[in-house]
Amino acid sequence: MSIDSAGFAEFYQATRDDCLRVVFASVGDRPTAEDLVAEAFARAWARWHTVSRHPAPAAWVVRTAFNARVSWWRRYRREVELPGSGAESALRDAADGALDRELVDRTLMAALLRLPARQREVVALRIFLDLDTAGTAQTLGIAAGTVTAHLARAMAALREELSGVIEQEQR
Amino acid sequence: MNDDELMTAVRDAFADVRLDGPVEETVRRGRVLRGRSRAYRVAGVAAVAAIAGMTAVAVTGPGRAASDNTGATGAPVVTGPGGIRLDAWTVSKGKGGTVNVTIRQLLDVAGLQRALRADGVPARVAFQPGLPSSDPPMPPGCAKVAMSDVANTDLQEKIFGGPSANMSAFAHGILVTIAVRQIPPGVGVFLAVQSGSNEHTHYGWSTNLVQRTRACTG
Repeated sequence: MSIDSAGFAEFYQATRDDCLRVVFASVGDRPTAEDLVAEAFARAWARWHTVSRHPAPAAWVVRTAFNARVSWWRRYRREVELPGSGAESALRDAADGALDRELVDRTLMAALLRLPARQREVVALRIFLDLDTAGTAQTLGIAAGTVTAHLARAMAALREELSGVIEQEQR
Repeated sequence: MNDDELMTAVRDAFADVRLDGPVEETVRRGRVLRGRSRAYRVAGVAAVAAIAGMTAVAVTGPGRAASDNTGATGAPVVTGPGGIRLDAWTVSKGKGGTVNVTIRQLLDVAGLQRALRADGVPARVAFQPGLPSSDPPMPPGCAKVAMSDVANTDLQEKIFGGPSANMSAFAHGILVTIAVRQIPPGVGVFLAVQSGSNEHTHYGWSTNLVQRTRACTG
């Protein structure tokens, strides 16, 4: 592996999960998000010479994934569990072990997905990529003031929906 | 709850969302994109040269007549869970001028295509081996419709619905609902299905819009 490729591999390992979380939270469909992020990372590799100099390469990947969402092809993918793969029992174990946490997680995800699309994108970029207002505005191609407004509205909506559940979990 | 606590809670809720797949797979796809980009640059130069020479070439593929076969099920059968025998695919008319397609096994693509066309869907179907592709090859004789990507996506939303609305997958197959009345004149639908592999247990399908021509959609 060349030095160039090694740098990409490091970047990929460090940022792929958070990029997927941003895109998943924004599009609301896990398989679609995985396809979009995988494609965006491949494009990042193809332009790594340029992308590696970008001030926020992970934001570049997310922006590319968002752009790819509006593409000529509509794509769908499905994971099919084979008998004995263990996924089923893993789900059962998770359900038995941490019901409260799951309730919070489900409530949070549902609340997030109910937000308007642009608010979801702003929140996801702030939370998972830790982008500031200027970085979020640049990634989404909107004004900084718009980012601030979207973020404030989104946080208020999430807080309202989740306060009860979180407090219940903390008791 | 302050903003930091709320953000931490959201972050925790997504902690199990992880992107699998080795970097080598991404690099392989990246190499294809990089190679294609170079090929497009070469093709672009050739196209400019062709336009400069005012050369026009028309290409037509072999025609395929629409079948009068209105069969609702595929002839081949497969054994489903519990030993039940299922048709490889089923085409049936639904409410409001919709046509439902259920694909359980990638067999008899020509029969499926005929059944769809008999029910009024100007369709082209391709069953393709291998893992789901983000860029399936366009069938011979088919061409992209002339509209922007945004308009294309909007129209596909009307024809196929959203990912979770009228198009879904289940453990052993794919269900697609097509709103036939939403397909404008001159436009056909293209459905490409990839079989995946036993090793990766993926399968996928893609939809697209094509020009409604005899060569492409019958």
